[in-house]
Amino acid sequence: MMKKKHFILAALAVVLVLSSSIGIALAYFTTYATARGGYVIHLGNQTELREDYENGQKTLQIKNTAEAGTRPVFVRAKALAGTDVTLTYADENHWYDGGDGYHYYTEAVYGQETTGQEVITITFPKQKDDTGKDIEPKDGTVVNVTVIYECVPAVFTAEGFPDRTTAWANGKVTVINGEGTNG
Amino acid sequence: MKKFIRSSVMTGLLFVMAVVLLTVGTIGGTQAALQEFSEDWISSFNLENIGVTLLENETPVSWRNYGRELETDFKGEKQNGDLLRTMIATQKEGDPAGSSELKVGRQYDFRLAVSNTGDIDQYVRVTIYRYWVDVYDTVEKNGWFHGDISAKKLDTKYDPSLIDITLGDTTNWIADPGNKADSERLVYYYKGILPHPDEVNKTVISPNLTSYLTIKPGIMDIVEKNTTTQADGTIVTTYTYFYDNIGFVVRAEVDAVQTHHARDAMASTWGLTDTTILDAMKVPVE
Repeated sequence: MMKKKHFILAALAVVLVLSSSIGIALAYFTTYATARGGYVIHLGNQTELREDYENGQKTLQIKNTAEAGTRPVFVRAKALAGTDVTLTYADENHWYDGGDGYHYYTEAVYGQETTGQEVITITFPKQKDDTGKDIEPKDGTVVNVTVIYECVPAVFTAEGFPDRTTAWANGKVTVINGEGTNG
Repeated sequence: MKKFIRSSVMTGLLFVMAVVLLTVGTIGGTQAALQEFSEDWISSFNLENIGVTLLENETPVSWRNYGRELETDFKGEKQNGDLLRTMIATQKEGDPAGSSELKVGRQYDFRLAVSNTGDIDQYVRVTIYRYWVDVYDTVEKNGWFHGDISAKKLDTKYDPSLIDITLGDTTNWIADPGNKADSERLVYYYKGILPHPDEVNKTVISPNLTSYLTIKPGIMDIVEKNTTTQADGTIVTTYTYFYDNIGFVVRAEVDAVQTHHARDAMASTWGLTDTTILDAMKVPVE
């Protein structure tokens, strides 16, 4: 019992002596300040393709169905048909030929906005009569023309303007589920 | 006598004497200071305080200035403030009008600098944390958020390097060798002493550590596409992005330390012993 008491007192004495040096260790002048903040990213988008056909012409328009003024996208489209069918794009109303099979809309399309019209003229293949001579296609001739369109969220330049030149060239695309592409 | 020395009374006496000696030793120093204080000339006695302020785009956003509780010039002793608060709302000349949403790819002004707002010279470092969070509060989804309430830090699937920070004056700041392109934590040390303000230089501000913040277009790389055709033939395509409705947070912390015995001070308080950095900071060996 006595030994234990001695030990406790000795330990206390050691603690006291050591504690006298704590002041030195804490004597450095230091200070700090911190600040924090952030934003939420909104990327998802939904678009609608409207196709109309009349007199051998197919008209495309794409609408961004997001909330007005938000989630701008760039869009591109191409039409596919059999090799004997000729498709001629008007490439007006801010559409242009990207040279890679797609036709691009130059402007960013914000929520509730719709692209200008892209008109595709379909030239039906010539048909042959009984003698093997080329003739104009008969009424009721059917060809299949399929339109593929894609969109990507608008990327901006360093100055804050929508930049279509980089929107489609944005590296690889990893598809989580289903089909996906952006360039 | 031998019995008395071995007795608990003697042990207790010795312990009490040890306590008294230690206490008296401490009081002695205090008394000396008090005696000096009582002299007339002591009016020139100057308390030294350390203080530092973090500036974003030339505006003080956060500070801790010891001993300045009552000085309105310094707006009180401390504030841990907001970062990026006006990043999107700020319009510069020539800016396009339109959406108030964050623009991917745009370079937003993000000039971080440090001001010595104390009475003594100091060495400083800035630590920048950048990370992605899941934000549950719908109110926060509409704009800026502080990042500490209802924000859950996300795992490493989300890439910090997509929160790109362009450095500013790289000649006056040295990066910690641990900084990597995809680091969540980036540390920079100011090369040299940041002097305290005086009558001539009333404001002392470091060169800008950073210049711009950009959310890189790589956030669009992971996407899911779903297409449906409605009864009227309209094709509806929905793209769902991995980073949609995810928040990014940037936190900046400035640390300052005294210049006397700076190597010891930095080793003790920052854990900094890298002589390459210490030499670049021109910290003398004492």
